Amino acid sequence: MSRGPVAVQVEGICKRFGREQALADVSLTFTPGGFNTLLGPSGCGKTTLLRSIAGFVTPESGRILIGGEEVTRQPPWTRSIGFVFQSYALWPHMSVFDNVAYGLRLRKVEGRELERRVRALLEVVGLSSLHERAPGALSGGQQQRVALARALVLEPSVLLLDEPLANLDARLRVEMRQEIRRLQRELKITTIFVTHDQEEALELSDTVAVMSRGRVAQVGAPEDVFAHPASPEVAALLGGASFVEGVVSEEGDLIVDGARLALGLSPTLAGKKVRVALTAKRMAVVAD
Amino acid sequence: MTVGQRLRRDPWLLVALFLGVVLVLLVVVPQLWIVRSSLLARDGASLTLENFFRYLTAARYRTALVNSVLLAIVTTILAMLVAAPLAFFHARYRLPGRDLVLTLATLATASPPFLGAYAWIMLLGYNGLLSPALRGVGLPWHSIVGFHGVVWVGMWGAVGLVFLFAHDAFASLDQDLEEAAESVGARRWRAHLDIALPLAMPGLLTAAYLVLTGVLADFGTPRIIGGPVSVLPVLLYHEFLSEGGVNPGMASAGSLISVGLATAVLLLQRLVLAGRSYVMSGTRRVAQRTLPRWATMTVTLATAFFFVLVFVPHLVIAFSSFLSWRADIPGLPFTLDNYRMLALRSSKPVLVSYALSAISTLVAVVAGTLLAYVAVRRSYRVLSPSLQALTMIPYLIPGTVLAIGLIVVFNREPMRLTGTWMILALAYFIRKVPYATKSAEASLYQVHENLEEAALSVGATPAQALRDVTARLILPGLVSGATLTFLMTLTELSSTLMLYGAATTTMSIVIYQAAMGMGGQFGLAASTAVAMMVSVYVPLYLVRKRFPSSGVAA
Repeated sequence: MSRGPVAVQVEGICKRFGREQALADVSLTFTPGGFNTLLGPSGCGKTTLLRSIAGFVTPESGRILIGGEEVTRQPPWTRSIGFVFQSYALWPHMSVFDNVAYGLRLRKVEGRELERRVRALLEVVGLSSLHERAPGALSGGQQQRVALARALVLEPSVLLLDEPLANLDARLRVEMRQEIRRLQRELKITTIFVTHDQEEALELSDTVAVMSRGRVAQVGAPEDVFAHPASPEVAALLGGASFVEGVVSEEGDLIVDGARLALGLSPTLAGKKVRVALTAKRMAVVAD
Repeated sequence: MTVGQRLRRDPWLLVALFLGVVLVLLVVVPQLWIVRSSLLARDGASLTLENFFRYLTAARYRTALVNSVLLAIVTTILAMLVAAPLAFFHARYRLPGRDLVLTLATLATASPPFLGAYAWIMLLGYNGLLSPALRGVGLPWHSIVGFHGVVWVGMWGAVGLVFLFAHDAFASLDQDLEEAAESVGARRWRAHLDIALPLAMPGLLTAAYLVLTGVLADFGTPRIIGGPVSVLPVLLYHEFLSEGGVNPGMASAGSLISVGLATAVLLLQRLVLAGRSYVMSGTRRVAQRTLPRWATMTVTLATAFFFVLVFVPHLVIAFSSFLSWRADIPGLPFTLDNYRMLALRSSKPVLVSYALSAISTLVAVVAGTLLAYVAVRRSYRVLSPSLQALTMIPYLIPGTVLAIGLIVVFNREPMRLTGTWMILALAYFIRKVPYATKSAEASLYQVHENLEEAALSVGATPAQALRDVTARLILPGLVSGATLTFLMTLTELSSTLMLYGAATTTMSIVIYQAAMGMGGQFGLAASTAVAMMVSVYVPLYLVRKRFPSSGVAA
């Protein structure tokens, strides 16, 4: 992180598993030091994209660049990444300390330096008193923190998070969400976060990429994406949207079967027949 | 990517290729030699199907074939009828001594098959310990030697395995399913019959398959207790090894027929099971109910009787090892002479058995683990399925046939291995590689792939990740798998008998010779048999205690 935040780019990558096209020509640029979210339903390719960036999956075509350097065909262990799995994937035969220390030991960091760096990270995630425990003896939230510490201790260029909050109960999920956001801001590390939860995406992200059927459907600031879905598909994906068809009036209201919906639509659409996506947050109904 | 690049990025490809070559050389090539020899006419040059034809027409061959099939079917049916109902009661009802019952059943599965034959002859052979008494009370008892003896011994050798599989099948049913049947008006027994039995069928059929193929391939039992009854493995042995040098083409044709028979049974089993694999939706395990008092007593008595019959051979042998033997007549007083002789003068077979089993187990477990890794964690389009098929071929090859193949291939320079310890180790290795692979696969499936990927993500190379994470986590499974492999090789007889030499006489050979009335060292054979039982049961008991869930029966 001394080098400053790093950009991640994917250019036209394709990946298929048997018959299924998991990624179809996906191109994206992730903001350096930003919190980038890949949002979409299960099976949309978001996890495959994340695993391609990590190197667990090799795309058939396209390029992946981390910090401007092409890594497409480099194996994961040579890439500067930190990865947090949905299942946490803590090694059950190692203590909390050893889980975090493992990557450092591989890099021949030993003795006091090792101790110092592991403890510093455990402090950051608020677990300094539990370092001798076995992962199995920790709660879900604590395991999550260990997984984060393990991913961050090597000071990677990119932090990759694969639905890290999915296995937590509702209360913890909100708490960990804030914790992850705080850490990311503090460390200014380029982060890519995979989720199917809109609320998480909205609260955490600097940028959201909505994915569907192996493609990127829309990219933008979360407020923009939620306020102005670029297509009916995105609107439907963003949940709870219902569609009404009607004609736009001079005032920018929508006339549906004689009923008037005050939606503040653009007057330039006046007289046109349109389909409007209604979500719970932004709807008002007025009597005709 | 060039091949070089692929290999550098994925060294497992190299491992997979190497294992493939080894398996082809050791498993496929010998079988191909057998195929070739079975098709050669007596002149050694022209091709013919005459050998196969004679198998189906000449009485000597056809009888063996029919006997083998008949024996296998009768033994399997009887073993299922005896053990499955008992297992059902223990799975579904609260009965005393559940842990003991399961432990005994597990121990029974490891019983060396030829020990049973040996012991039952000692008891009920023409000159057996009990035969005069039977005749004395007026029973028309002649001897246990014959078809009925092979069935009797084979059945009691198989019931342990059937019991474990059936118990597993009945115990893993979701209780809601039967209660649902009761809720729509099925009586208790109706529900058992209509719901529990069909759902347990896959497990029961698997047990039946294992017994059937086991009996088909068994050499020791029919050879020792069959008397004049000829079966395929015994016939092969005589055809191939008899001094007169009977046509080797016939032995080869018989070998192929044996393998074909095993393959047919496997395909049949697959076919029958295909429509029957049910996914149980519930996770509620069966809760055990209580039987009425009289029924509890009856089942408990039946269970006790069952295990007495299973373990009679062991008790008889242990007892006879403390008797004074004069030639083949045992008598009093009780003595430790047999053990003294074993320890002081004849411990070599014990050491040979241990050394051979240890070496072959080590190699089988290493190879099996690598094979399992390629099968579970790599998905090479051609290589992975081919390796899996190759690994399973030895399942289908009876020990006698395997030995014939090895002799044919390794009987010439520069690879003359016949008569050496190496050919025995090779045979054991090939026979047990499928078991070692299956056991390692089961352990690997328990370790989530993410655990390994997590290591890669913090900079571990695949080799480091394997060493530091995966290997550590599958180690307990490997140890228990290795123990079982070791025990099975320790009791191997069929291929040993064809491949051993004077310097490589094993425990099983010593016992076999005594059982056949050869050599006359009966007291020594009894103490050797006890040494073998201790070598098998003590480790097995420890493994079962330490890893209660390990698939001991497989």
